[in-house]
Amino acid sequence: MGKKKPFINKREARHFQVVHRSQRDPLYHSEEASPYVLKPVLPSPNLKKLFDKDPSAIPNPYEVDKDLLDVMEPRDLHDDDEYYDSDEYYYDDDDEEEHGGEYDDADEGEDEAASKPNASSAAGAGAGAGAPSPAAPATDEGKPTRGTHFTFEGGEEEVVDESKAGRAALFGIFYDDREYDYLQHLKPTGAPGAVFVPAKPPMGKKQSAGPVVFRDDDLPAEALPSRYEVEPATHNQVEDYGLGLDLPEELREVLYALDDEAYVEDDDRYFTNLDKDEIDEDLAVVVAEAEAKAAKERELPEVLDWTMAARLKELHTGDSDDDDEDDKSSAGGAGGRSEDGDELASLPSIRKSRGKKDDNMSSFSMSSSVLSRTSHLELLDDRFDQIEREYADEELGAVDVEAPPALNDEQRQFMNSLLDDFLSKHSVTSHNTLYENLRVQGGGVGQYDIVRKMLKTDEDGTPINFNLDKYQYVEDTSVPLDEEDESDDEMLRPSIIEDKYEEERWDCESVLSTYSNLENHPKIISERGRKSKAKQSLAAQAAAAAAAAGPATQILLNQRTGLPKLAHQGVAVEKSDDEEVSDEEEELVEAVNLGVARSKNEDKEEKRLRKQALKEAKREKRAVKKQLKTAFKDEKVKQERAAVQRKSQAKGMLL
Amino acid sequence: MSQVAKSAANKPGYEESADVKVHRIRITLSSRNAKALEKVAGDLVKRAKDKDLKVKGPVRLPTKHLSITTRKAPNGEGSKTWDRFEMSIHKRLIDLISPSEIVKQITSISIEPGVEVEVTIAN
Repeated sequence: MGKKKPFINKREARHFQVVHRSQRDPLYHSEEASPYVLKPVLPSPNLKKLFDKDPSAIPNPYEVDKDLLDVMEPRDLHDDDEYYDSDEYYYDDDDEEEHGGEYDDADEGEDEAASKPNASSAAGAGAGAGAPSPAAPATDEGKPTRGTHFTFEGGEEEVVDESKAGRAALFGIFYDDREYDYLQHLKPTGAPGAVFVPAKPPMGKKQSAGPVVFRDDDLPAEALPSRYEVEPATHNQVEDYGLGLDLPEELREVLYALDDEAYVEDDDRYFTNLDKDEIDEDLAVVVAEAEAKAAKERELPEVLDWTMAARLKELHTGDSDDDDEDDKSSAGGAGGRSEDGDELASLPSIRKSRGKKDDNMSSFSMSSSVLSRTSHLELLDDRFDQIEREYADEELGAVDVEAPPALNDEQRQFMNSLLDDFLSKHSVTSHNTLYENLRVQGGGVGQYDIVRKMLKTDEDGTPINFNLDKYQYVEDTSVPLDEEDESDDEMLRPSIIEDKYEEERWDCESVLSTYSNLENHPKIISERGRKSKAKQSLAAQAAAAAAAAGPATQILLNQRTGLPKLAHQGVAVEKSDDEEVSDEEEELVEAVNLGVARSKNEDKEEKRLRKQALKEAKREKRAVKKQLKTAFKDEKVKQERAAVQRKSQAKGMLL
Repeated sequence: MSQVAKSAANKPGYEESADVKVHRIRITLSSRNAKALEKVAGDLVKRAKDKDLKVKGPVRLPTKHLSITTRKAPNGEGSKTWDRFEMSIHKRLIDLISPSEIVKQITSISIEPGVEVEVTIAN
């Protein structure tokens, strides 16, 4: 069985890939259009197997034999970018079409992909066509073809060597280019300013399997990507009209009307008018008024800033509110009722704000003024307006400090009497201790004084009675109204409690030491207390020396005993005193045991006995020491063992 | 008696099909995971059969296994452990003979991620 006719001739077929629709596609958002489109693609390189060739003759793309050049699919070689760049060496008149197609890129984006399969399929077709008819020369003009571009190298060199003269012919420029280089004006595809100049199709060269024209007219247009692309959708959906001076007048009016509140119709009248067949007469009036307003607006300077627009709108709404209300109150009621007996119940006229208030027409700003007003945003707007109205109140400002209200005489007297009554009460305060309630002269000092007096005791310990005469210490500040002076100024002046304890003020020293100077009478500090004992001893020595040396002896008394100090005796006494004192207080002098005194005339026996006694004493000392040591050691060991036992017990419990 | 030329159009029950150009469409599905691929292929075939198109059911081409076995170590030290990386590519073909409108519907099928769909339409 031979090879079956393939289902599809892949060389001549059109290849697509199913991809998602581009976001720049205007149909991206439409729900009817399919989310996927057919994107034309190049056929796979694996298709070289499908050529009508001996499959075993598939060449290694890395080793090019010149014999196989006309057999190979040129596309293999064109996979290298290197070759693509130097396009000029590859094209002849035949292929100028796709060559021209290569150069076209900038203007028609959708044809870019279209032209590629065009090129490659043309190349495939060309090579495929060239191969079956090897007899027919690839070109008539002797220009190099794709298949023989390697041989062209030699030719190319010749061309280059000569003067690059004929190169322009490759590109379809048939002028004499010996003097002028026309190739300098050629630009690669996609460069800014590049213009596509299609080549003239060669005559009589078209074969049945010639360059394939990409036909997509038989496919539904929806299945293919759109021809024109649109910027992908952004937040700023608002059309940027700018000032829109060139828009038709009616259109501009409509645009203004969208924002202007003057054009807002109240619901009640609108729907009643809808019901009626005849148009309300007053409606025409309203329309006329609106037109007049628009005319007025046109006279005003063009609104350049949204803030200006807001202010203008305020002005207008101020006027229009009155006008409309007047109109509607008079005309709406009368007109509505006069025309028809039955009418809809009129809703309370709410001033509705239209959708886009201060709309910033620029597409650059992302502020909330640009976003379309949702219901939440509108609510915020209304709230803001409310607060703004509150702040428009001119009376708002810093609260002035007002002068206290002036009282006339009667009121003043009344006030004073009230104050006096209050002050004279003793038990108004919350702390109800006996002592605090005393409004004592001298303040806290006086209170303290009284307390001490009360706590005074005799030597035996019995408390001395201290009768507290409260009123002795309290100054009566309340002046009865009967005895008031003529001058009112004294009354007004707050009375100051005077301090009666000015004579015996405490000085700083006493306060620090917390000894009151009533009992603490500091004296001149004596020398004795400040000097240290050592210094004292030195001073005593010096005095003794002076006493011993000098004729004018000054008899110094020992301060403790009161006895006079003699030179040597004083020293000794002083020393012993010192020693005692020093032993007790200052220095730790080791007591040297001189032992029992040894008599001069000592027999051997006595010496022996003495020595023995000493030895015994030492032995005993040693024994005692040892006892102590062992006792300590035993105790230590015992303690350690107990500690270890305790630890192990604890561990045991855990386990 | 006027003679009406006997043509296929006069026969009763003849469905107008001459005007509609039929395309021969080959859909190539390729993917790395077979499950999604089978799902898409089955979906396509089912839709085509619903519309009474001539469908040649999903032809399963042999899957290509690409495997790379490399040493784990960047240097040569250590016990000689080897990493085995594999990738399987599954491919299915579906041939249809259908008018152009159906082509549009091909594009409306839900395509799983990871499945590449290529369509070849004969001239």
